[in-house]
Amino acid sequence: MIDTLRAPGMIATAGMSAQSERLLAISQNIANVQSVGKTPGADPYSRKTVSFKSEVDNLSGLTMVKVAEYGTDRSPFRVELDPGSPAADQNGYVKMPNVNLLVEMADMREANRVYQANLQVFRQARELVSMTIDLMRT
Amino acid sequence: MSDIQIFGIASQQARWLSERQTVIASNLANASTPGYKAKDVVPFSSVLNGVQSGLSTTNSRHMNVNGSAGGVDSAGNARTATRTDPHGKTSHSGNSVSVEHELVKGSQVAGAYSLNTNIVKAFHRMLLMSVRS
Repeated sequence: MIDTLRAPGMIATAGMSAQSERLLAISQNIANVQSVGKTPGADPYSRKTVSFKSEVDNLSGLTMVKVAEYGTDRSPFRVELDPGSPAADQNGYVKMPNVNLLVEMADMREANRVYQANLQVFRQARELVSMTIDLMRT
Repeated sequence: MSDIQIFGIASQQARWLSERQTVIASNLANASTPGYKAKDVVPFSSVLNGVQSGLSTTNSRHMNVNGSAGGVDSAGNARTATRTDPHGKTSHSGNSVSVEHELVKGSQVAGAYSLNTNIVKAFHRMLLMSVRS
């Protein structure tokens, strides 16, 4: 069993890296909001999703978090009329990625908030350690 | 020295507080895990009651009150059972972690820990005062 004063820091680190994975997926989605296919009628970029699961770390017995799977959103693509595009089909319609910027922004806010919460736990755990060390000072 | 229990109780509370901080860290790390239920440790008062009643049992027919909830194991470590946090409101994904609630609990832990270490510091100073000429 690991020292319980060090454990919160480790768990918060796992939480922060999980949230940064999520932020990575969000940034990919936002960057590819206009990425269409190359050939007529081809599928465009499809939205990436990240899901988490809680996992007990075998070494320390702590409940950590890790990325369960990277998936792709299977919701239908938007269709736009743009006959000049190389990805347009014979009727002139282009399939656009199923990325909704508002959803991505909301997701980013939430990832940000959870990251900050984990950072706060890390800070507080460090404070507890330093308070204990201060006991040696008289 | 056996009259001075304050150090024992204080270190036990410090252990309980760091255990609680670990549970809070787990909850916040899993703040966006589907189906995760927020946890909390049993209150310190029940851990402390477990200690005292464990010492005062003199007959085998006495009721064993330091049973399941908290108490001390054979090594003298505060055994902190975790339970599902009753405050949590379950969201659509089955997650019951409230980030604000966990942060409030975290600052409570930091405050209590600061009180704890300051008390220990004060008592340590008193002891030093009595041994110094």
